[in-house]
Amino acid sequence: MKTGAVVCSMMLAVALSLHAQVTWDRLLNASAEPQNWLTHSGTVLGQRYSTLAEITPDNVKNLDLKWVFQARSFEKFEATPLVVDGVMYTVQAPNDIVALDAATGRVFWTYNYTPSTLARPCCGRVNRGVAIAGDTLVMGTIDARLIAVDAKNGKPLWNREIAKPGQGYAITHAPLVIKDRVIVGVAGGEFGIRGFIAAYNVATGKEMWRFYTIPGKGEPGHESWPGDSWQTGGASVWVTGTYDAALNLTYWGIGNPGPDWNGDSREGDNLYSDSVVALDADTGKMKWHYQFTPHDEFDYDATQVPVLADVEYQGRPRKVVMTANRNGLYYVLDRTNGQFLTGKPFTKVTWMSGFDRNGRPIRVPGQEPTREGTRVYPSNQGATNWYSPSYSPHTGLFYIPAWDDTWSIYVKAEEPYTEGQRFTAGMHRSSFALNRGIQNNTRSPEDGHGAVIAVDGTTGEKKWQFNFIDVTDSGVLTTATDLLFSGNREEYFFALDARTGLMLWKSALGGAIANGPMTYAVNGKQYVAVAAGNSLYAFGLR
Amino acid sequence: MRVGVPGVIVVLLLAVSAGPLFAQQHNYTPGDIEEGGRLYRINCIGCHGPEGNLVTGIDLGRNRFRRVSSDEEIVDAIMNGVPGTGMPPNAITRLRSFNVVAYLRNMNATSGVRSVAAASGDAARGKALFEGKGACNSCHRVFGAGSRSGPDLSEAGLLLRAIEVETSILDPDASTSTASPPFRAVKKDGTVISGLLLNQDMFTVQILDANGALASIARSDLRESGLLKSSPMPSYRDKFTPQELADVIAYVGSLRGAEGQ
Repeated sequence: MKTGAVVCSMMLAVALSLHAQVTWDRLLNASAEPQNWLTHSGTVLGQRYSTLAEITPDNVKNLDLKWVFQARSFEKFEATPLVVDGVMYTVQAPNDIVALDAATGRVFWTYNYTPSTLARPCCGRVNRGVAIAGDTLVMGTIDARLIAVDAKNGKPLWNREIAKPGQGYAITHAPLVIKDRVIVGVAGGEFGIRGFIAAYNVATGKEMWRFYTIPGKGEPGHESWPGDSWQTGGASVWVTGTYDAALNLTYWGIGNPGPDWNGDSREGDNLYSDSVVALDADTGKMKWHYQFTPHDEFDYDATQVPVLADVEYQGRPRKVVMTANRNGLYYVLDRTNGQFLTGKPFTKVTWMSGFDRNGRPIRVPGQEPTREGTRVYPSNQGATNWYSPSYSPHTGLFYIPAWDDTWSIYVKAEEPYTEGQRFTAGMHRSSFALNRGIQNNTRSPEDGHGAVIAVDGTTGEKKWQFNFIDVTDSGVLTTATDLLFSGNREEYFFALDARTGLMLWKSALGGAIANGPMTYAVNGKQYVAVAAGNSLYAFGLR
Repeated sequence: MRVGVPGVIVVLLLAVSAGPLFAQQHNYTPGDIEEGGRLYRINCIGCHGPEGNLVTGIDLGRNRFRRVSSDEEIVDAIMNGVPGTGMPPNAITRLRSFNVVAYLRNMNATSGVRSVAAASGDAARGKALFEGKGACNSCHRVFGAGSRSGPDLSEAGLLLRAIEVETSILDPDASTSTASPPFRAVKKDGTVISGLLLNQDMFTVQILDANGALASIARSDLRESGLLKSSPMPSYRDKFTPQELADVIAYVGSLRGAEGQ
């Protein structure tokens, strides 16, 4: 082949990759094109880890702000953007999709959607991102719809009601694309919904399967809900799951049972609330589950990203799922069968004292909500929550955005179910608010604090901890150069040495960070993007 | 004199015996009342005032309402507002609205239990005591005069009940949980810094210092720092007579911001 022909074919290949559709093969092998960020957590494994290596511990101090996108919205900015061949897609809360030039921040187009006034998301009119398949972007909405738009021009392709917003259903997480289908779950655990995860055809929006997170009559696990409590038991889904192609299993964390703080009407384990479930991606049939907090009365949703990795566990290779749970413990499970391998507290935990031989937590007597109120660690907001963790295969460490030593006083009450109304049967009194708002931080150290905690991925042994004064709603990103990026309510975006926890760089962004940082490259130049307050910031080397 | 704004109420209400004081309809716990007080200060105090009697014809602490009487009716008014009146809907859950009712039902039971009931105060005499015998303005500022080292009391009458002011004067340690708690730090060179904590993060601390200056201090310059465990304000229990105390309380209660002058 002549040189000219080689150049031509290379140019053609580059041109094709610049404008290629995002095929399932590309999504499945997203780690092979680290310049792009094709799914919510970077890859379907959920590690939020990138092999991009231009930014290193040595030069990270030279990070500069490259552009800012100011959302035309005052809602909390929780979305992690996608980047596809130089184009960034993000969500301007609650449910506008924006396409930007990933190198300059200039807007290509905006798709505006006004959710129904019936929408009643529990904890803010938020969205955590879109999914892409082919040239189709898919977004869940706070009025429980799934909307597909053309990635080239933002024109709507289909718009489907998934559930009734007036009954408290909503969708706040980024969908997960597997093959020809997009998978979402429903939020609304504080409104007496019956949770489910379902798959929809990307091209048409037609439902392909549905898995109820609370088993119906005659199904295994139904006996864990007395009477009709299963019909209003919550078990919502509001953080994106993960996928193992070899096993063809998709893994999802399930939310708390309802009513939240008084379990008297739902005596039993309340399956599959506070569990991770492994579902066949083609049929939605459950292969296994593990329940982190049976009969939860503390709002300890298990919706955290179930992170997948192949590791060496006690001397032999093991396919595992790793997760840091809102209940204060770090877990490692065998993801082929759900076998419990590791469970270890990463902060102060008073509701349980250990595990039985089956990996079931042993409850501490007296640590339950009462009419007068009971102080329990961790707090209602959890020792961690929806903000994405990271696992670095390079360090073997799992990085937890944590609320350390925070507590709540849990109060139970009587509250009948009324359709569309909050159904919590109690409350909590905590030193930390759900959302920071404009409050200054004058709290005392006894109220707890935020941190990034690094634990050994297989044993859960704590390796280092970087403490904040305030708490955090920021996810964590790690890279192959052993950099860790995260933020907090103190409005700093920063880089740590992923091996030691030493701070290497920081920037004060003037708004609390409540989303997961991500990284991408355009024309060989690496960027790191994060939202703070109502704006999205992109940094690169000077 | 240093008056905590407005932390005292929490301690005071928790000290109240719960059962006999409660309204007949619900058995509220001390925690319900405490939470209700917190919510009242955030959502209600602006119109109804600290004593619950600033809206004509309504005295929340004495169960005097215009259109409602039962706990459920009050909860409905809190959540949905009262059409045709200035009462707006509030974004408070039903259970937490009952906490507000718990607070309202116990407001009267927690006032007038000490010297406030013993003598009616005179605000003019109280002002003289505030600036004279009490030297309260050596720490507190009112309408631009006085030190800034303690909380500014120019709007104290809009925020604090008389019983809360009294408790702050007699038992200052019961009222240290203010929005700007007293803070103390020691720099690496031994310099002691004190003031009111305004904000903080991993790297800096923002205070209003004892000289009345807004200061931002790098944590890296500090050898130690933290909130004071007890109030720097002395008790006036043995310094004021009951009548003088009532006069000072009347004066502080008359402070309703610049527009109230």
